[in-house]
Parts: sequence; structure tokens; C-alpha cells
Amino acid sequence: MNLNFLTIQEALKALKTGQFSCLELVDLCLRKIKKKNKGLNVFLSIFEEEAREGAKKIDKKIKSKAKLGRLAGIPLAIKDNILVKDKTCTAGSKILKDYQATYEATVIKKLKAEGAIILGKTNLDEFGMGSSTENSAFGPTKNPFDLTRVAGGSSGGSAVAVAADMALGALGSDTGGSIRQPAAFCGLVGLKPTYGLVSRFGLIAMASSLDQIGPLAKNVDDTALLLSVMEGKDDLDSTSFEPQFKILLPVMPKIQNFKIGVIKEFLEHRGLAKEVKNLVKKIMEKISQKIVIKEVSLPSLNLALACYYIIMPAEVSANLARYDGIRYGASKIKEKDFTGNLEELYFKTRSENFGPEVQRRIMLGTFVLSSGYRQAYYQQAQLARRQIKKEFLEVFKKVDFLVCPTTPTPAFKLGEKIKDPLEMYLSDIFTVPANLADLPAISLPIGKINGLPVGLQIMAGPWQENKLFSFAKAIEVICS
Amino acid sequence: MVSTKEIKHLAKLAHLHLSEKAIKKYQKELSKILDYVSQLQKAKIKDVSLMENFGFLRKDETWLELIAQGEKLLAQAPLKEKDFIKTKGIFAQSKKTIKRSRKIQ
Repeated sequence: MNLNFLTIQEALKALKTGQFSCLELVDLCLRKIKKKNKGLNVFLSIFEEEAREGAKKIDKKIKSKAKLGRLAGIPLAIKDNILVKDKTCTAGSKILKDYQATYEATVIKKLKAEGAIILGKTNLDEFGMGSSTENSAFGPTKNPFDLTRVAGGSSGGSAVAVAADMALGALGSDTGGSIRQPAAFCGLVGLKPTYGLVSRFGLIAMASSLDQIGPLAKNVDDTALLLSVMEGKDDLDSTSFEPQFKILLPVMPKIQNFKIGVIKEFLEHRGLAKEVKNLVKKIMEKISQKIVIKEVSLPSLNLALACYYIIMPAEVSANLARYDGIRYGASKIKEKDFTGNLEELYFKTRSENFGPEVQRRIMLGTFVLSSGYRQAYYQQAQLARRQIKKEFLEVFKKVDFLVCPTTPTPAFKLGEKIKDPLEMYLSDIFTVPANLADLPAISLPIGKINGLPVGLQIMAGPWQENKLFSFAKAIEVICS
Repeated sequence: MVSTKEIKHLAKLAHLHLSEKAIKKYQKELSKILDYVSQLQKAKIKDVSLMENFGFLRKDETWLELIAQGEKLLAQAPLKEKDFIKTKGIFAQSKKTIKRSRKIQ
């Protein structure tokens, strides 16, 4: 019996009714991981003992008919920039290769409290910087649909963990598309929540005004369930908010009541592959038989990528200043033949342990914040960000959702874009606006092109996750 | 367009030590990226202003859980002496600099 092909909802039911035990489920996941991990490079660390112990505890609870958590016995994979206490957390970087987390992320506490089983930590682009997982210090993660192609990034490991049936769900983080893009490349559902819905406490910071933790799963229901466990204001994250509505499991909506907007600037984008455009149009035609679809224009979106690649590196340069070889992480001072002074300790620890993309973004951020350039770049980008958000909020007064492809193309080949950073950045064109405007956005699979999954992105107004999940569920049914 | 002199300056500000080869590589790459993002400078942005920061302060209470982790936190430090994290002196010179200043004398 292939237990891993279950969804989270199916597994919860089957565990409660005793169709199989939690230990059987977890053992099956662990066997799958052992078999496939070398080839796909998904997990950086595997918590075999703890996962099996956790599974046995859940089985005891089920047997004694004790009250079970909402994720009781569900094996999950966690991106390795989210802290799990007393376990290594590398952020995909040499500089944290041996770092042991001394505290736990709030989202992990919440998942554990509901009985989830953490299988291990997954590969990512270093510090979340990248769109392919090729920037990991520990090698790229491969796409299970085509091993010569990328899994997407930066949450590539988490996406493949679910797509390759090593886990039933996963957590990723999204700063400019890092959940949605790998979800699209691997045929999954992935959501970036409204900024502030999920606590960032225990997420290794990349760009603090853009980062959000979110779920990846096989379907909309599972994604909603994971989010409902993780959401909520946290005293330890001053940028988290009490949500206006609690996240609920989606109901099938009367979609004829919705108004959909299709973004003109995106559909006309010259980088958008014809086959992707046609697939999205096909879905829109199917829906248009039931609901109003109008073309909307957001002219500021043409500035979004430039705006993102100024603000994000600026925050990166500040957030990564802490890695100095003094309090934790890799350090030159550990080397017996190091005779340098403090400055050399900082400079050499950082240059020898940060990868090229990280160093690139730190310097880019330093530039846009530096004297003489700050007003022209950083301040201008902040104003552009306000304008982009303002345009989105105006549009959401006229439509309920905005749809577009998640990515301009399906998964590209390993090595195809890594040599040209700007080329890589351009692949984020459809995902970064949601981060800039603090909006919720979901990617769901709508079909394949030459065997490679394609994702549809749906954006909604702030705090509209429930509405978003309902509509996404309707699209899921239409596509299936 | 950014010069190699500017890259060297940025590297110093960012506490990065770059080889000559790396400086040339980053100079090319950052020039291309900055050329792209510079389009923002020509953009007409109106009717928006920089908003105040939001954020909420938590209660001023000791986070006991973190205090209890004291030993584990200290265990992360690359160099220690008793209960102290040890590092290089702020004003200490490297052996190279001392040799150089002795030569000048």
C-alpha cells in the first residue's frame, strides 16, 4: 500500500479509524527519503529517531482514544531556515553549517502542539536567495518530474519533499515567490499569506518586510489546514497581526458571485512562454462560462521587479551583518593558524562562508543604502512600493481576485540561468508584487507542458485567505 | 555602471574580502543589475508618501525560556573563556601590520 500518496485529510481519517498506524506512515516516509534523497538532494537533516518516537506517542493516543491535535500523526518537511530547537539549522549556508538552534520557531511550536511529526529540514537557496535551489551550499535539489531541471527556489527542498511523496506537507518561506514558484514547478499548491498572518519568530531573516512562512501541500484543503494551525498574532513578532478572520477549511463557493481580474501587464509580458499563456487562457475560458472576468491594468507593476531588487537586498545587507564569526556559526578564529585582527576575522569569515549570490545581494543592498545613492534608489523604491500597493488596493475594490501565471515558464534546466543573475531575477516577475503589496497569493497546478507542471497564481486583497482558498478549490475542481 | 573602485568600497562597507578576480566579476554583475533597477529613477511616482512604521511592542517581561538557554547559547560561540565569548581585540593589530609599521620605523 502506498501510504504517501495520501493527502493530509485522508491520512488524518485513516489514522483515526485505524487503517494504518502512525508509525507505519512515518516509516514509509523515512524509507522513501532513504531511497530518493541522494538522487534528489531534498533533506539536509533527517530526524529519524524523533519522528518514530513521535509516531509511537500518537499511536498510543489513538489507541487510548485521547483527544488528538488537528495534525495528529502527519509527517511534515520543514525548510532549513526555520528553527527547530536543538537541531541543526543551516539556512543552506556554509556559515551556519554546524549551527544548533537554541530556540524554536513559533510555527514549529504550533505544529507540534497539534501533533504533527517533523521528518527533517529541507534544502534551500542560501538564506532564501534564489529561484532554483542552485544557490545552496549543499548542492541543488532536482525536479522529480525531470531530473535535469530545477525544483524551483528558494523552497525547492520542501516542494520536492511533498511532490516526491517523502512528506504529506511542508513549510517554506516566501520573500519574492519562494513558496509559489517551487510549488508551480513541482505541481503543488503553495501559499504566501498576507504579511503578518504568520509569525516570523524563528525564521532566519532575509528581508524582514517581505518574508512570510507558508504551507506547501498536494491540494487546497491540506494547504488551508496547515495555514489554520500556523496563523495568529505572536508577541515575539511585532510585525504579526491578529487576523480579521480565522482560517477555515474552504467550502465550495458559488463562483458566479466572484469578479476576476486578469492582469494586462503580465499577460502581455514578453518573457511569458506562449504555451503557459495558452494554458492559463484555456482555464480562464472554462471559468468565464460561469463568472465575470475583466482585464485590469496595474501600470506600476512594470516597476515591481526593480523595486523588489532594491528593497530586498537593502534589508538583506542589514540582516546578514550579524554573521560575523563571533557569537555563532563558522569562524576564522577557530583556525589554529589564523593570526588576523578583528577586521580580518569579520572579512574572511564572511567571504569564505557566504556564497556568491549572498555576497552579490549584500553588496547591492550596501550600494542602494549608501551615502549619495540612498535617496535615488532605496527611498525611490519605498515610494514605488507604496504606489504598487495603492494600485492593488484600488483594483481589489472592483474585483475579488487577480489571476496570472505563477511563472513565465515551467521549470528551467539546471545551470540554465545560474550564470546570469539578472536572468534568474527576471523569472520572479509575477510573484514579487504580492510580497511588495503584503497580499496573500496562492499557486495551484493547472496542467502540464511537455510533462512539466504549470501553476496558476491567484492573488486576493489583504486578509482574504478564506475567500482565496474557496475560489482556489473551485479552480482545482475545474482542472481535475 | 559601477566601477571596481566602488566595488572595493562596497566590499569594505559590507565586511567582505574579495580577490581581484571576484572584484572584476561582481563589477560586471552589479553594473548589469543596477542598470536594470535604475529604471525606477525615471518613474513618475505621485500621491504617495513614506508611511510611518507599524509594529507592536510586547509586554516588558523577561523571556524565561531564553534565559534558560544560556549555556546552549554560549556553546554556539566559536571561542570561549569560562562564561565569556572571546574575540580579537578591537584595537589589536595583525602581525602583518606590526611588521609593516616596524619597517617604516
